[in-house]
Amino acid sequence: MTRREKSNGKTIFQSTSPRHISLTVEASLLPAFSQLLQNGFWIKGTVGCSVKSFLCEQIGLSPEYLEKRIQTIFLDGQPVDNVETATLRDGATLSLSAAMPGLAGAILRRGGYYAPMRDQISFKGETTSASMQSGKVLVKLFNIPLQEVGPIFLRHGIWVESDKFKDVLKARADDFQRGCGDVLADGRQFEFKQFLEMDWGMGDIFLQVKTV
Amino acid sequence: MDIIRINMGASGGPKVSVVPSGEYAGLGGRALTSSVISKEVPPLCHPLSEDNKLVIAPGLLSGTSAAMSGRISVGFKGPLTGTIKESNSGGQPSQVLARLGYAAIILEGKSKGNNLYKVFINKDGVKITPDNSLKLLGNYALVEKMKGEYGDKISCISIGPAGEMKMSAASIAFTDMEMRPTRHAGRGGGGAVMGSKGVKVIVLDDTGLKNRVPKDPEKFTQANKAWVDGLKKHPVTGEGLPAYGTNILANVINEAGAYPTNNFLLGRFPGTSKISGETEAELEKARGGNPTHGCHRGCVIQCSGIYMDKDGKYLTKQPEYETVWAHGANCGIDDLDAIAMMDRLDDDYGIDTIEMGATIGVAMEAGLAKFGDADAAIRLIKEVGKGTDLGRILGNGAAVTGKVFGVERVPVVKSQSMPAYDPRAVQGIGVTYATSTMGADHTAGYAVATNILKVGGYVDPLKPEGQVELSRNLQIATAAIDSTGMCLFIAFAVLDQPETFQALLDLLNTFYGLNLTGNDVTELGKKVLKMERDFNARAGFTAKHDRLPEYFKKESLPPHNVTFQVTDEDLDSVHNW
Repeated sequence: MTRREKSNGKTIFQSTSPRHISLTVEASLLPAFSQLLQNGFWIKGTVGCSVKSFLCEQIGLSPEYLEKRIQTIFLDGQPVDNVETATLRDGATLSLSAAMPGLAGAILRRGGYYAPMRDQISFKGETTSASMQSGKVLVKLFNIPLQEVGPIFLRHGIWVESDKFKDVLKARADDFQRGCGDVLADGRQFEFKQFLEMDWGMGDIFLQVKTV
Repeated sequence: MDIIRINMGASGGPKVSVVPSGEYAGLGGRALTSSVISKEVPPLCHPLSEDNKLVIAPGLLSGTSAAMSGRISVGFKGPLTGTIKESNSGGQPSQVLARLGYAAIILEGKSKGNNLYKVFINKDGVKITPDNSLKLLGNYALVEKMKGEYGDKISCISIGPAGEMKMSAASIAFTDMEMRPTRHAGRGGGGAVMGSKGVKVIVLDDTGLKNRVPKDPEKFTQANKAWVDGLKKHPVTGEGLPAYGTNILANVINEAGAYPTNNFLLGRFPGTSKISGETEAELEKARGGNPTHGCHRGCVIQCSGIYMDKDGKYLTKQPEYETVWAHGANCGIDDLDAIAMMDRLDDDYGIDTIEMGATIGVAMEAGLAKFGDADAAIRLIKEVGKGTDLGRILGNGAAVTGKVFGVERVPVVKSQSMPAYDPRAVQGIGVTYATSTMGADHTAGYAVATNILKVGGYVDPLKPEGQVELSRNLQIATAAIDSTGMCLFIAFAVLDQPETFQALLDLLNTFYGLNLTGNDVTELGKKVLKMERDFNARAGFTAKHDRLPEYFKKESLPPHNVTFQVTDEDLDSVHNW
């Protein structure tokens, strides 16, 4: 990473390698990342595999958790009924939710009795193991998975747009000032206020958030 | 249980009669309201005339210690739709009215002169007195006045200015556990009917009375325990709804591409995460509100909440999924505080939030405001509350507003606005919107245990007629549940857990000393639907009215680019059984 001073006195870090930011925060600040997780973050891994394989073998969720707690799944906006045959393409959007209330919730539920009532939008893809390759998936977390699995994703690290991450910090700058410990950016330590004033430019960053 | 009949048009002034239930004995909630309306209201009458009736009925288990039994049904011929209506609400009055020993209150006739009346009911009887100092009071100020007069152990059923002005989108408010008028029988214009009868408020006081006693108290208690255990252990009723409320649906429906945006133009709204249930719950907690709250005593699901403003002061109850959508995505608005303010205004003026939001969407399409302009939306609602010329148009709903301003794209069925699910993305819901006896209604066809739905024969859901069969069965089951006084959100737990459905049957059986089965519940639902269909037919409704607006068949909905494809023939077969 190279450092350059702009004419307005701000420090710019220009990098040709992925930018890695690690925060340690009080647990009470985790909800500040909620909209980031709802809107979606990238996970890099192997694509061309099934949804179940991605979530259980790559992310590390147990099959029981997937079965019992994640009962509404969308792949590219289409409700998924079979996690063993629905295949992730490179750049796919995978959204995870608990079972939902009401008629609509019952209809959208994975493998639900009322699934025919949304047949026109249901996911109907199949597994093709020959197309497995490196790629990335946009993951969105809602409600119970947001609460339960969100912190796990944050701890392991997610790829997000740097300006959206900045918005999260700015929206609760005072809270982060109080509740944020070390900030590591590409291995260098910064005070939070100094870090917030940096101009990271555009692009994606690899963000890790741990709690004290 | 007796029935209170109040003839508002009796010579010499309103007359109260307390009569036995008679032919309505054993009925509750929607079964009772629809029975009375279908038998006693001439289907061709004007909804604001003396011939219409307003029937307010707790459910079969209301007033007992059964959890979730606090829903109340309001029946009438709808000023908005012209059909039979059953509009349902939470809050305290259902429990209180049932404990007072009444199966229903029926307002009939029409008061002569311009007096506005209040009704007071306690264990000593029923009193009705004129009180013109209540004219045009908002529901919040009205309830405070009633507390000042009758003490703080009361519950209130009231109308705001919209009902007094007889607007077709007017609701009837029911006070919650904190005695705020935040729960509403919203749909169809019940508030206008109450206003046409000249009744502003019904005050209930059950001081000195206890819960209704079951025939078999010990078995009833056991059934209630199994019932509560079932509800608490299910992730929807035990975790999702308590934590996030009904607005837990926003992200999911948006992801499905079924979240109507900008007057049903699109199926996804970019600002959804800003107004989602997850974001709403965090905001409430941060401001000292409460995202986990019951609308009536005995509720264990607690999907309601308390919303505070930026300064930490109470603003409104947690806006529901439908309200957040109607005033949010449907109008292009992503500001939760603005949406909460609109919810407060709707509650105070006494307006159906779904109808109001859909109407503002149509008004925006007409050019009265820009999509996304929250301040303009708030101004439009205030026009309704003031009763200006524009306000009176808006207060009569989306269909009227669309007609006045020449808008083609008006999302209504039988003149009632569609709720927060686009029928092109979820076609089965479109079947229910089209064929429900109530107009476009998302609660008319709900999920119950599959063992109910398999009673009478199992239909393969993969066949083309599968969606029609499912909608039919759901409408039957909902009609039955609406008669018990139970909150519809029990449905998911009952769907998944046969033992929880059995607990519901056991509650009914041990309370009344019956031996009901799933079949009996189905038969009750069928009976209610038949009555409602018959009334609508006599009111002039035909199969031609069981349709979505044509543009849903022609206009593709992004992101899936789908149109409504269920045929008219299939829609016509829904009620063939």
